[in-house]
Amino acid sequence: MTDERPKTAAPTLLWIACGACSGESMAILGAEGRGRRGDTLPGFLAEHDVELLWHPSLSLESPRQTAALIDRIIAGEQALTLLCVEGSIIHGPNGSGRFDTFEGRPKRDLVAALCARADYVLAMGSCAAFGGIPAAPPNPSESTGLQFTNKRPGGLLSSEWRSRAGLPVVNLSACPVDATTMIETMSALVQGRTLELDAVGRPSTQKPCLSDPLERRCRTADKVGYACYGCIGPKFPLSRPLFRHREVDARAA
Amino acid sequence: MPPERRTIRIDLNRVEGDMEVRLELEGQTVTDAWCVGTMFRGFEQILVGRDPGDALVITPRICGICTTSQLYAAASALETAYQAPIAPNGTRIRNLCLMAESVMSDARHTFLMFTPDFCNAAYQEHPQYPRVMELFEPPFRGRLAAETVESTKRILAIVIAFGGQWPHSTYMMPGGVTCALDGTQLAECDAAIEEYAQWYERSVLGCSCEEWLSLQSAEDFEAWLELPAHRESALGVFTRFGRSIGLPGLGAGSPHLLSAGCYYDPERWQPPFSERPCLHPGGFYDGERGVIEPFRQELVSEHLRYAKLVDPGAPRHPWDSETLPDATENEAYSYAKATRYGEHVVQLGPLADLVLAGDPLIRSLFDVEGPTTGLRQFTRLHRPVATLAAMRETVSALRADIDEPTFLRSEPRPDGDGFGAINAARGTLGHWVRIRDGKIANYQVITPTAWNGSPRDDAGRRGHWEESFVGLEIKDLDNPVELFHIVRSHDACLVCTVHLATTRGAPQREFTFG
Repeated sequence: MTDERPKTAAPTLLWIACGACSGESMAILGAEGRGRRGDTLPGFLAEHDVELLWHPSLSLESPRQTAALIDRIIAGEQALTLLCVEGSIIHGPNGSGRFDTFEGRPKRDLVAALCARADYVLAMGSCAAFGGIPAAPPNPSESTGLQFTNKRPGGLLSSEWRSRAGLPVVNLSACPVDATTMIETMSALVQGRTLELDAVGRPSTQKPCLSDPLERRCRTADKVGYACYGCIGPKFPLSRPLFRHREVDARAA
Repeated sequence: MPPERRTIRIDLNRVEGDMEVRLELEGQTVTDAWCVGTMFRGFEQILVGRDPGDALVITPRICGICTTSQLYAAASALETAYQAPIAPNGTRIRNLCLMAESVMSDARHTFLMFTPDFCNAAYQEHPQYPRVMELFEPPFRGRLAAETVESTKRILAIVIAFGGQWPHSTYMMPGGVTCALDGTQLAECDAAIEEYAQWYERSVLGCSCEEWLSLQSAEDFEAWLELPAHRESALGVFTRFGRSIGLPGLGAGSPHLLSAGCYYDPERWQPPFSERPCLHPGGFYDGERGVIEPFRQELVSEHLRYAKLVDPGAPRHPWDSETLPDATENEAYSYAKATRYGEHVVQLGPLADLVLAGDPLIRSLFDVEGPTTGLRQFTRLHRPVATLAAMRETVSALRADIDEPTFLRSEPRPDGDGFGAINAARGTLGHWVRIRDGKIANYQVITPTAWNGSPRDDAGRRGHWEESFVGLEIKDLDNPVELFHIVRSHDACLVCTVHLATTRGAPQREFTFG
């Protein structure tokens, strides 16, 4: 495919939210505290000279103006480096996609068209990666992830799909994923560094959050006294309770 | 020649989620309005049949901004169903984290979502436009916009000290909180509160918190505004620019206000939960009679006539409510239910909370101008000052009782009906749970935005937002900035509302712009 887009030195970022709670949008504005760095979205944009084309919660432009921007991207007239998708991909009711529309069009169709034009596609959070909570039984919205549906390969995009830069969807699987992980991953991509992805598309920049399946030694559960499915990983538990209380010794560090 | 009648559809962003407004116009004036959420996830269906504790994990994921409120409401719903005693330190820690979230939300909403509209091209010729751009230009270019990101990320350290992450951590459970309490956490809280207060004084108020809290009336505020340091603060510029573009006269909506009260009293919030002792009282303000009555959750009802759901023929209380889609083609236009308080369309939010709490400055301004766009947003600039003071008091109370437990263990009952009401940043949030044989049989979440953005009820009365648009004169239909101000003053959280709502609104005969 010839790249007819105007050459631009500055990378561009488009954020789109689907079956979402805005958790990653809020998280990427930063949340400091013990053991957490102060990364924020504006810090990332400034440091790497990235142009924010649009973010639904932060940009001035209305959806109608943004629809024109999206059409330009799809037509190949506007370069798109990073497509960040938050929230599950909604296919209901009955496969029509009309449970989630943007300017009258099913959002999942817009996302599919944008994926074809982006250098890199990032699933920001477990919902975009695997379907997450909306895809929990009975999955009323017919949600999937971008390239997985819970543990099954294939979602909006087939497992063979690759972006313009040759990567599958980069899955940041957490609920929500923290600012540092999102920013370190995007920084690596705009700098052209190689990112290793595991069997379910998760990059090496992904740190464990609260759930012990990823990293048994993170000890966060010991510190805060519970282990819940903070990562809401690829498999959403059907028959087990989600919330596990762990008694914390008041004298422990 | 009569003015042209038409219907337009306007999609909106910066409402946290997605929203569609359909307006009927005669010339440039709005004669009718319909509000529709445009995304559906179905949380209630996901919760039915699960272990009640799962609500603590799942309901925060309804919304990434008010995640702490959702968690608190779920814990309260379970506690009232189980009649579980609660450790007072548990309530204090919960309140402290909820306060931190409220403070963060008021700043992020004001300076990242509301004031960007001051930078709309429609105001390019306005004499204060350069100043407005300097302070508020999106994304993140205006000084207040950039500083808001830096400051709000630090106040969240309070939630992280107890919960480990924000948003979405499940550190509240029936009986209290899961984490222990130590002096280091409290020292972190003190530092975070001080740093935020100093930023707020310097950049937002232009005066000390103490001086701000001394303002008790509209007259006090006008006198305060005379000083140059105050006129040029973010709050001063907001007020003067807002007045010059007509915000005090815009979009009042429903005259009736509702609040279930703010922040449970740690000592008194215990079984049998027959009263709701709060640090700030709630109630129902009857805007027609000018009287305040106590809040009674039995008067909450859901109307389904205009909802695309099976209609039982009469309004129902949330414990008895069902959500079964009904695709029959009729007058229904939304999957959202119309929530009403008795026979009233009500308005929820910070303004409602503070009027019913008896905040003197807000009550005085409310008596002058009513529940307008300008006053709704002004309340979000005013409220954090008192909240920061309440946070300091809560930390002191925790320090005084540092060795007391943060959690009391009790046996969950296999059957029970619970109701949790919490002051989210956007107003009263309610969770109603019905537990049978140890499983969730029914779970209803009514968010403040669901109240405010509701469709018509069984009697055909418009919801609060719909009402707030009627009569609006829009200068440029391609750039309806007046509408943007009203919508954003409502601080809509559509991701919350559409957890069980969907789109497809009437009217069907319409044309869309663009």
